[in-house]
Amino acid sequence: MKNSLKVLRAERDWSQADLAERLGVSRQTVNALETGKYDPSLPLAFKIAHLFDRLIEDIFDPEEIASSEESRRTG
Amino acid sequence: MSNSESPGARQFPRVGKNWIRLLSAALLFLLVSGVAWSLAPSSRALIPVTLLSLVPLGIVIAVFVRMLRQTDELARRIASEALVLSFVATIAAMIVYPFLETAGFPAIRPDIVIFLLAGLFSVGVAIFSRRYE
Repeated sequence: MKNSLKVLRAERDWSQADLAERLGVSRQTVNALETGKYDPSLPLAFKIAHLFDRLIEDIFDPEEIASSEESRRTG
Repeated sequence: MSNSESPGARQFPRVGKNWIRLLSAALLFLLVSGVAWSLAPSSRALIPVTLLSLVPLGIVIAVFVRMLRQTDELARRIASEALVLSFVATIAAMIVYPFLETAGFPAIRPDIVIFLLAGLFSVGVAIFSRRYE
């Protein structure tokens, strides 16, 4: 799933380690989230949205979910 | 960054302590089960010593579950995937190896399962961690 986590983090001049500490996760998790290799749980998505004072759908792209689900169905 | 300690920052030193607890309990289990293994089948101490080995094994399980709870969600997912790999591969090996034994392969001790599980879990963690890098 695409997301704007990297942009939001860069706007605040935070390192991945800074963001990881604020979210209470490991730096590996932040990296996996930013590269789209890992989709966060709902509680973590809410935590991220709260931290950046945005809505979840402003950070995570639901269009990307729909297109990936569609491509999975069609094979 | 502020110097105040966040919940995330507190997690990792505790994981280190848990590793020491986990390894100590695992060593204790190996020690007690080794004693049980060395006892003669007719020994009166065999049943109590064998049952005693369940205590450190219980500690291993409790510490492992605690470690999983204290790690973050990605680490939990990696550990879960590694556990599935280690269990499925160990079960497959335990099903296949008796056929190989009848074909002339050497007989193995049943407690090799523990090392197989632990080894495959480590391999699984290494493999699945790379997926998220």
